[in-house]
Amino acid sequence: MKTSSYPLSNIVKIVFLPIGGFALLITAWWLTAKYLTNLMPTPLVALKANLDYLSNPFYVRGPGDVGIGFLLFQSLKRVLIGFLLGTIVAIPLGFLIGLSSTANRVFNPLIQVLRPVSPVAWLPVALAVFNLANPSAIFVIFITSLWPTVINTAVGVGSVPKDYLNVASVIEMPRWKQIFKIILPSSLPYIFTGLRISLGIAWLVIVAVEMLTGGQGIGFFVWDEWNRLNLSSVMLAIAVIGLAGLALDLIIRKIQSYFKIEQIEG
Amino acid sequence: MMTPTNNNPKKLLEVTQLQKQYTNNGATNVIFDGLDLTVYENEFVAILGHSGSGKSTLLRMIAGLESVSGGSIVLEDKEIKKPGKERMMIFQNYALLPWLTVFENIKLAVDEVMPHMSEQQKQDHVSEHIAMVHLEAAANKKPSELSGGMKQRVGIARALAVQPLLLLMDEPLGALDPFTRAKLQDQILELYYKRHQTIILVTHDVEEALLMADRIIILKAEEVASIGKVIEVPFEHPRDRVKLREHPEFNELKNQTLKLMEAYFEQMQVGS
Repeated sequence: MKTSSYPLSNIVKIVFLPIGGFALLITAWWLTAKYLTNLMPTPLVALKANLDYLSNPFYVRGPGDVGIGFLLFQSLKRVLIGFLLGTIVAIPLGFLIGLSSTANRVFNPLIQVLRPVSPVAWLPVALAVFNLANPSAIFVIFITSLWPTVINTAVGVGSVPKDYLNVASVIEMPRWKQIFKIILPSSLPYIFTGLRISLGIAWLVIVAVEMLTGGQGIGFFVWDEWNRLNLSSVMLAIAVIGLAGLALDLIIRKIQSYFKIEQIEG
Repeated sequence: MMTPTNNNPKKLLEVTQLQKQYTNNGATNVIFDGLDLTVYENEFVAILGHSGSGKSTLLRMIAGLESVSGGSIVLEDKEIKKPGKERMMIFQNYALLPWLTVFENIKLAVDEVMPHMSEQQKQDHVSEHIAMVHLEAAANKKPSELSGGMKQRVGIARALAVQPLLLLMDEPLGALDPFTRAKLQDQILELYYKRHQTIILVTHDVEEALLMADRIIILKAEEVASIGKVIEVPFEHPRDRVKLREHPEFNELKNQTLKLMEAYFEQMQVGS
């Protein structure tokens, strides 16, 4: 009896419980729209209103009227460029801080002060320098991507087991080689943790940045549709942003598992 | 093989008036204050002591992993200042790189230490040492897939592949169960006979020391650590564990040594 009930309870766990979570949210939305405000569409009305977006995500009908897939693509492009630039700076900087106590003394206080600053606060600085919306948005994402990667890389480099380094020094491996053969592989899990956090925050920040800079992108789309009192599109955008964020995290986890990092040592 | 009757052995390692102290929060903690020790070629020396007797510190200083506060450690006329491939170490925690396979772990060391070899020669050299510790079937496995005893055999193969003048073992079998321990002791002895390797073994196991070593240095720790007693182990190599255990002289020596160790342990308790 007990064994036969297991698969069923698994199906409940894997399929029905998550569906229940979404159902709760949609019910709350539906009740809010029905009884509390006349601005908000009910889920069914929103779905009907969004049919065009959903069936033609990549249409271009003019500079200000393009499909949501296209907007998403623009935002992703900014995030990926900014994130890559940030990573290129952050990983070496994290190594430097993790390896050199002098570098740690120089950069650590700076990082501690700058890390709590909302990256959006950098936007005016970027606009003053670049004078253009797009590079400024990328710059903000660049700043966003720095801190978690720098900090996690430095921690990873600092927590390489002493035994590994002892082995390296007993076989007289030069320091630069130790960095690539011992320290880098050993700290990869930390680096990836940093990268995942960075990319996650970058995806959060791009929406806010685009609301401010305008132009083509999913963030400005949210603000623009609100200004037209078109909350159906806003609800769609929220769903799209969430799914895209989930996809980004899945991709980076796939890359991580590709490196087959095994840290468990008995 | 060093036996007590072997005259005129060649000195390999000379520790002279060795000093070691730590300064911790302004307080100076003296570990060694003038320790002398000579190790001869082909000799198997065991350093026996309780935890806190300074035995691991002494070994790590010989390895160059720990700085020397005074005196000197000289290996074949060269003073030891830093770690080097002629003094390969076997670690208690194996110190295998978890992202590399057994083969790759050993290859990493061979690549560094034998740059003059061709790629093929290096690979053969690695395979030969994997075979030496009977790990052919595990060559492409990661350390996480191996038992503790297998991991330490990789550690031993890696150390011997480097062909050191002096093999340093820091409680290499301390984390293993008694039967795996016994098996590895036999394997290490076998390699010792085959390769005429000079070995310093740090251990707290009296039987292990008596079974394996030619000479046992017992450290005692009072205010500072020093050599309490040196035992020349009178048994001929190759040794047989089962026969030795039935040997009255072996048991007599074991009991004496245990008594001495107990006395040192009491002194340590009083001292601290």
